[in-house]
Amino acid sequence: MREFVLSVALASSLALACAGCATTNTVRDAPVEEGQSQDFSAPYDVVKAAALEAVQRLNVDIQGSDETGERFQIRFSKPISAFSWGEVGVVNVVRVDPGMTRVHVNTSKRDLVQVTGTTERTFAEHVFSNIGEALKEIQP
Amino acid sequence: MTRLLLAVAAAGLGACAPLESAPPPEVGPPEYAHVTAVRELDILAGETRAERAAWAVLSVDPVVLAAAVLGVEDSFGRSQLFEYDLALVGGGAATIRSRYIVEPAQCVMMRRLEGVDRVIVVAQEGSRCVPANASP
Repeated sequence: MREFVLSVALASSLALACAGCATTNTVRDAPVEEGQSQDFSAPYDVVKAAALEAVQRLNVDIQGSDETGERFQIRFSKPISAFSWGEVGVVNVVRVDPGMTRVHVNTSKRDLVQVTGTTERTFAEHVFSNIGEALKEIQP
Repeated sequence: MTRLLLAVAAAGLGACAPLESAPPPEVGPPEYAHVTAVRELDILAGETRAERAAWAVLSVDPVVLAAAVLGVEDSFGRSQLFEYDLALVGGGAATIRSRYIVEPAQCVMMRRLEGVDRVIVVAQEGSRCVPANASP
């Protein structure tokens, strides 16, 4: 009986642990407008390139990119470390008008109950700052 | 008080694995090209299941260990990108890898970066890919 109770407790704990996990799908499938956003005075095609360069300068793993009629999306994850189970995130690039483009940064901690790790605001500050620097280099 | 202590501890631990930006690389001059072929690549990159397991073992918690190995998607160890064959307007050809998305026959501007294994690609109007010595 004691073994049965222990097994049930272990299975329940495992289910709870997995239910509290964010995956790339969590942020990939979220509404495009979710997260921190900033507008950039540059065409969509240029901001796409700047956003890619911005994320590639970070100490994150880029998992891929894709594009729909609504947005260009970059998916990334920050690896597991001694102090964090890591984070997952997306950068969504959205057309506003021919000379203006909006960038959204949406991230989530992989372990949703974790208090350590990098916040969405910190990711966004780095990405927006790097985009600004990249735009100065890319735009003629 | 407990919340304050937890917040201070969290801030301290968070600072131990900070998000960092590498310095911006030197950007080379613009080169214009037509995309002649696109291939999708799926490569091994990022963390592995074994690395996650190693960290989980340190937690000395069988639930954490099982969740880290079984309950986490394995796409964290893979990366998708595109390989483009380019016909340079100035003459010659190049093959590059990028996560920028363009179609075959599209005109692009490429900027090579100093000291890093990547390039900047930006889609352009077709008129940008007309050779300077082409007749109107």
